[in-house]
Amino acid sequence: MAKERWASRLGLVLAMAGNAVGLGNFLRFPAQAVQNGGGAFLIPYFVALAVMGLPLIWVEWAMGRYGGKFGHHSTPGIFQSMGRSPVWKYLGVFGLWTNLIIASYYLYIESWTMAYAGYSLIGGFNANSSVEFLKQSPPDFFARLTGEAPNQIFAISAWGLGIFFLCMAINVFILSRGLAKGIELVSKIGMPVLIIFAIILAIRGLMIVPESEAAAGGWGIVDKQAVASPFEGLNFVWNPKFDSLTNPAVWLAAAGQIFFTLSIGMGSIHCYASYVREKDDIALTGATAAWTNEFCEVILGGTILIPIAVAYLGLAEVQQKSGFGLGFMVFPTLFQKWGMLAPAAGFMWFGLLFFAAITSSLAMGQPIMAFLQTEFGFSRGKSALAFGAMLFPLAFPVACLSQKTFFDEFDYWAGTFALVLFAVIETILFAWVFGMDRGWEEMLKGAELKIPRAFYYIIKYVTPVFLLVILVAYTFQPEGRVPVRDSVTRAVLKDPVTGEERMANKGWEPYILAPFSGEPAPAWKWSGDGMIGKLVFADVPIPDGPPAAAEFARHVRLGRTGDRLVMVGAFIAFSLLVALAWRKRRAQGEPA
Amino acid sequence: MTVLAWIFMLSAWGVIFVATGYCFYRLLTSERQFDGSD
Repeated sequence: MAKERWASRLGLVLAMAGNAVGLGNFLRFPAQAVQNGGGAFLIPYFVALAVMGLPLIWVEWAMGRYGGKFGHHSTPGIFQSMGRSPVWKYLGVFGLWTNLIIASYYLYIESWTMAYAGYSLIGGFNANSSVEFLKQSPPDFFARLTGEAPNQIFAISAWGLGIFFLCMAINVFILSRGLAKGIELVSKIGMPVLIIFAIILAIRGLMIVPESEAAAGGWGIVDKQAVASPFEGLNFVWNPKFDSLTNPAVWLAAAGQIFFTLSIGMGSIHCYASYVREKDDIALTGATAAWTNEFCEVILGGTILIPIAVAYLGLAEVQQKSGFGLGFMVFPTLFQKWGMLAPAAGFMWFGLLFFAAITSSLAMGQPIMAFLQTEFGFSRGKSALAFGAMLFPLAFPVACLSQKTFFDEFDYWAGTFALVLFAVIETILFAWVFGMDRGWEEMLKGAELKIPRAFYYIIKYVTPVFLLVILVAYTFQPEGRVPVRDSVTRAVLKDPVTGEERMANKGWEPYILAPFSGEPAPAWKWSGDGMIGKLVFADVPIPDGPPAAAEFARHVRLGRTGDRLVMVGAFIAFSLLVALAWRKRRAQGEPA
Repeated sequence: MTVLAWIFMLSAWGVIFVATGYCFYRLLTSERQFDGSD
């Protein structure tokens, strides 16, 4: 079988950047910046990029290229080529397992962006449309697409399933075309289109001038429906709150954002880099892909969602909503205020999200395909179909059950926790088992960018510590919520609508700050966002209220238990495949 | 927007523009491309 290679260096950069640029760049980053100190958030963000993001990018590229030299294109083989103990190939299974589990729900979200883009283009989300079908509001459209309903464990939508399977088929087809004619070609088209769409939306968004400010002059399009200037939203994102810098929780959030935005800890970077020749540069190529991701995240991602939402909704309302909620539930309605441009704007917004998603989902399929091709001699087409077949039993419950079951669980265990765990493992392997001297030499081979020597020590000491802190913080995360008090009266503030106490200081923050602030740390309670809290269903309490809600919570717990068995089963299945592959290698007299 | 917000935004944008631009400049003007045979 001919050895696959990237057709061009630019194509590889765009494929790698496409792998990193995902939905989080446009939906998660702006919300994180707003919640964690505005412009000041960028200080810990760039520090985390320097001591964790870029080093891990280079480590993963170096590991991938090194493994590729021995014909390995997935992490079981790559890890085994770097560590002597047979256990490494089984730890490398995470690089297959994580991709399969994440793909099973990520493709579902990708199918939503497809559906939203198509519906926007034909004039949907328009309450004034003469066609009844086009009048659906975004929440109604979402409910029809997903079949989600309150307190219902089954969430089945025939046409939602149809679009999901179409999306899976598109991915399988592209993957079957191989690296150069499939992934690279899609990235070469998708990435520029995504950037152009984002620039158009950002410029149009910043041109909104509310009527109240029209008299003051300035440039832009006066919009009677706007309630604030989009620059107020930009200010909301960027105005620095320096006191946030003394809060370790903000540093943790910045490290988390850097970690997730670069698609580290998945095994997909290793896979892409394994098709690079030994003499080829990885230092400059890896840095270019990483900075392209930063361009899409900080410059484009920070300039679309919040400014446009603030212009039409005002600051107070935007503060109440998540990035995901704004993007899918609110934006389509806001675009209707752009008149004739609305279909194009909606199409561009969801189109850019679609391209961001598909370039990432393809990167999830390739390591599994590469494993089947390398170890079992599958053809491209057969391995792509096998990936689709593996995906189906995981994707089906994701699409047919409430998102609180398989969808949320996959997102946490594979999409959050396993990534950090995998990154810890690979850093230890690279810096301490393979050896930092050999690793450094590997990174510098053919380098067209001089990596400062400081990174030798950063990778060996700082990055593992950073990762371990994140891993511990995510594992033992406390709920830590305390009531919000009035700054003068110290009375507990209550929500004016529900009358319930307002809570703040989520997670570790109150515990870390307790020794300095004098505020007593709250009683320990596991957070549903942390590993232990997830294990004990802290995020799915059985309510005392209506029986239907209590029954639903019990069904969710049951669903999650089943989901965990499926995840464990998938990991065991991959491990057995790895064992089989290495037995085959030994039988053929190949080095194991 | 406040002056500080402008300063932070333009500084962050500046770092990213310079870094991305520099990387692409070096990459696109490099004579070592990845095509060709092994």
